[in-house]
Amino acid sequence: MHEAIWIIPLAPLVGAYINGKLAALYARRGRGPSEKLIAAIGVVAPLVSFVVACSVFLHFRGLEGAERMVIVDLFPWIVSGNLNIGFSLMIDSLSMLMVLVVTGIGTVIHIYSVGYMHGDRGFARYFAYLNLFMFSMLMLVMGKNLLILFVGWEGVGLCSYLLIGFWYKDLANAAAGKKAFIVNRIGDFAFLIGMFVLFVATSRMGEGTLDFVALRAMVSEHPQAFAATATAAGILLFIGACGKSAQIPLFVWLPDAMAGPTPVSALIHAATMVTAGVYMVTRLSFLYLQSDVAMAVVATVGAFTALFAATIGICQRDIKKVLAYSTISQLGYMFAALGVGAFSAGIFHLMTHAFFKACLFLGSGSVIHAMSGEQDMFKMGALGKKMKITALTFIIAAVAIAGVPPLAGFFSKDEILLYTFTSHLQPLGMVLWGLLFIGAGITAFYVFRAVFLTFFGERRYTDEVAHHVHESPLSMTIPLILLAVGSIFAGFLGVPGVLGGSNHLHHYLEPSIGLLAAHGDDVSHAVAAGHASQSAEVTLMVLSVLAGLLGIFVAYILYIRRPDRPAQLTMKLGRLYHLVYNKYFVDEAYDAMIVKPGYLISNRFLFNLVDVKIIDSIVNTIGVGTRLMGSLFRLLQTGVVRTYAFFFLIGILYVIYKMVG
Amino acid sequence: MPAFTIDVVYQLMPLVVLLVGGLGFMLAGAMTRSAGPLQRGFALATLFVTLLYVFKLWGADAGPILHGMLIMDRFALFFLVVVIICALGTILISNGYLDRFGLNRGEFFSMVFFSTMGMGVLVSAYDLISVFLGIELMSLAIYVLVAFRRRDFFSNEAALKYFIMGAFAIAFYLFGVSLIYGLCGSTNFEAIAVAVSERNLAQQPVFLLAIGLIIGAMGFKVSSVPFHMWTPDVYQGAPTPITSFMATAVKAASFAAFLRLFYTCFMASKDQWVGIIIVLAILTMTIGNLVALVQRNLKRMLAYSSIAHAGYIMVGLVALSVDDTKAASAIMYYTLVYAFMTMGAFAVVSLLERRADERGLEGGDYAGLGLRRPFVGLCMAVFMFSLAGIPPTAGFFGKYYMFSAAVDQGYVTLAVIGVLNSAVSLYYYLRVVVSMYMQKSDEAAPTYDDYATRFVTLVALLAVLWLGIGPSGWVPGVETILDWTRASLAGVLELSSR
Repeated sequence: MHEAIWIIPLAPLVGAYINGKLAALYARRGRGPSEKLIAAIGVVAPLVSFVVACSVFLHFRGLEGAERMVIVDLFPWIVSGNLNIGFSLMIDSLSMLMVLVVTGIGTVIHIYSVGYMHGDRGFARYFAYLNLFMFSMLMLVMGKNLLILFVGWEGVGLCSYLLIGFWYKDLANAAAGKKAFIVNRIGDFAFLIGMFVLFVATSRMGEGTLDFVALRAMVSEHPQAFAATATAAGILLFIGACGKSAQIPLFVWLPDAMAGPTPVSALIHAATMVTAGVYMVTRLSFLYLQSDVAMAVVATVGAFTALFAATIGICQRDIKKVLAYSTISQLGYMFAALGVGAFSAGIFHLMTHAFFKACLFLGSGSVIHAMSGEQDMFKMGALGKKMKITALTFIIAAVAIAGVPPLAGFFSKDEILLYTFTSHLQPLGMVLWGLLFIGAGITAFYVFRAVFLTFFGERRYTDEVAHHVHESPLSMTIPLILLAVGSIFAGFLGVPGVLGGSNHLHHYLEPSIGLLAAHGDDVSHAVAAGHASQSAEVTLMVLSVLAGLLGIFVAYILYIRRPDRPAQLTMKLGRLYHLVYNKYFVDEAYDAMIVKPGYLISNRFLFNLVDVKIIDSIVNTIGVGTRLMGSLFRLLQTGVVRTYAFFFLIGILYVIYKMVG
Repeated sequence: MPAFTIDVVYQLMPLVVLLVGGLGFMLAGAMTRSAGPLQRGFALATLFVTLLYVFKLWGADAGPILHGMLIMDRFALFFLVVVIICALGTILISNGYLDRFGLNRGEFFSMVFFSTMGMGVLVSAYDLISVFLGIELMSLAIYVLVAFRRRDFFSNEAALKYFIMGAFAIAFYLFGVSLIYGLCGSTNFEAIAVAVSERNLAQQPVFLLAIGLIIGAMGFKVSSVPFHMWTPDVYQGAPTPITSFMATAVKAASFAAFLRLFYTCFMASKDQWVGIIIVLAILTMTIGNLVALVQRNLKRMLAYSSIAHAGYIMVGLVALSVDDTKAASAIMYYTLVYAFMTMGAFAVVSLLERRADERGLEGGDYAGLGLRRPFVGLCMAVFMFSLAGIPPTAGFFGKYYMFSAAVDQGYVTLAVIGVLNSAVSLYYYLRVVVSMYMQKSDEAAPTYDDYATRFVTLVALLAVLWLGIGPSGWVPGVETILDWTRASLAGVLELSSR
């Protein structure tokens, strides 16, 4: 059974194909099959994947560490010279976890979408895209080599583009889709180069390969030889990850991506696709460990992004934008963890984040649904009474992200903070810890700001809207409940030793992840954790919980007890508020520094001068000249046999002359 | 040793079957006015029987027979298969075409068979005299076929031009043969090769003169510039199935004979003749492509295209080497590929050609074809892409093997000129595709519901794709075919090195 892992990506592909055909049928005929059929196909496809994934997981449970590995070589894919790439899928501990997260949360969100997209004209198209996304994402996490990962990587990018611009008739949505795609392409370009670098380096060492297993063996055999490669390839691949996982400086597309349907934001732009970068770095952990520089870059970018995005989150009015910046910030936490070598902590946070952030997004979707499409939190308020389930689940998820024990976010975030603090990259580790620590407080603040503005306080919407406000249908609330349960319990997979747990997840992931020990000195990351004494560990824990509680408390004061204060504060802070509210003018800066000059150069110089004036005229001249020569030669063809014989004779004479003479 | 043993007769069976078929159709033509379905079926069956014999003989890989006049080795059999495939295609295309043009008479098939038999003699010729016999047998039947639209002015004109020029060219060949006979005392390939090495004739001026004369005659048969001038007129005037037969089978058979002749007898003088072949190849590619650019009539355009392709094949002749069969094997592969794509293209042309108003041949007649008749349009597009040499079609790989053989032998400039020529050819091939898919047609030229012809296009389509990228399985793929060519050439080389 477990050899049939190819079913896992195949099922959503089949679903995408069928629903795509149905959507095309709908577009041609103007009417199509019922939503029930489409929804059934759309939901069953990821469910099948999930079930197969679970069976593989059960199979894994009986196995020891490194034995937890299923490899299926489907067919040789690209064979050319010394480039030999097989179309192979692989499931080991790491991808097992990813597959479970993707298919599990994916299935839940598919179910939610049935209710959310009810009555939309593009119902079939939506499920076709969503299934296609599942396929691509599964290829990404199951690929046995970097190229198949890249195929999935590009595939999820495409689906993200299609789904952001799903309501393409609104030009802003289409533009948001385009922005996401282009920014991602910038990262992908670096990713490609990174792959080339790796391939060239391995070719020099013997056999060129992009296969993870072979790469890992090679790196562990000659760690010294890979030092330079690891830095170059590591940073290049990380730039790709910055694009996909919305890190500084390529994060600008994610907030705009909220233009898509909310379940899409939950699935693609919070729980799965954006974590692809985290997965990729973890997958190549053995490579990153060879380069302190690459690791430091990853950690620094991650930590800065975490704080930077969190501050922007404070001032957003749109509930989905708050969550978008929160996602960027949380992804920053994950990268910070990876950068200090705490790969399992990063993946742990990835998993818990998938639960609570998906829950937050779906909750916001439920709210938006009830508010007839309103997304501005300042036009909501007091929704808690009317939407009990949504409010409750949203609050659970908010507590989880704020890092209050014993919910999921506490354990994973705490582990990240601990590992940054005790990182072997000192004093960088302390600085990063400081950033992340402040970020943790801000996180609690902005997410509870959203909670209070949305579900508590005064009612700030019109009676007309109030008329429609209602709890969402079961197909939407059940997923919320499932995810809320996940947000509560997912953290128990990784309870640290100091709290009497044994960090199951860490041990589970061990065989897939490179350890710092491979670095030569014995600062294995398991050991790194031990560097901090138990008391220090507990102190850090208490500090971070306090930061979270403080954030919640401030939000409570500002938005429940003294609702007039925020406006005053805004006035007082003036410039600073303006700066943060406008997201530090990053979009504007990019526009002025890159987009406009690029456009000018392209238009004035490359297009009007180089292309039109120079290249076109050269090409046209050659073309005209060639035709002219053709016309000239044609004149020789007189149609008179005498001429033909004459030329024949000339030809023969020439040949004889050359032969004999 | 008596010339005719049972074994020899057995080896001659492919030719015998063709001969019997030809004679049978001659008799049938005398008794009935038109060839019915039965006769057509019989024609196809005869060709299949011939193929069967060819396959049976493949394993034998026999030596020369009839006192060294003919040799039924794998090299000959390979080209015999190509020629028979062309004949099959021609008969299938002509099936509906003859009805539409009111040409349906039994002699047609008889002539196709005689001509095919001539080609059989030509590809298996092992003596300068049997080469001559093969050429004449093949050509005489073709002259008749070209004039088959006997009430049509152009058809008659074409036949006459072809005949006169053919006679002119073969005279040079015979002169060359007589010189060689004078020098070597024999016309047998093997004897010539022996004489050349024993008497040190390779640089002998008279010998070189003979080679030059033979090159001229060869240039005529494969329509190489400047011996090509009959080609456009004849291709345009002949009935379309015959045009395709000439463009594919005649060319393949002629190349086969000359390839063997050069490989067996003239390699010692390669330094002397290679310069000439280079010049001729460049001229042929360049002028063929340039003049094709300005043609409006599709048959004429394909005629110039066939000239250009002869040029590409001559690149292979330039790269010929006794140490490395790569170039020769590329020539063999190319003729096979070229046969399929050209046959397919002419099949589509014949579907649009109309007798009533002599139309259906201009570029404009193809406007919107791709949308009106998606299958026919797709086939034509693929043939055009393949002729232009765009991957993954067989046309690309044919050119690739050819040019890479040239590069291996150090003729880089020649390969570059070949590639540049391919770029030029894109223009006129793609113009057809553009017409078919991007132009609206005001008055739609009808295509005929001719299933036999469409079957030919289908087979050619599959072959063009399969020969490009098909893996070798139960249908021979590229590698298998290349293996066959290598096996064939090994035999030829072995004989010549004796």
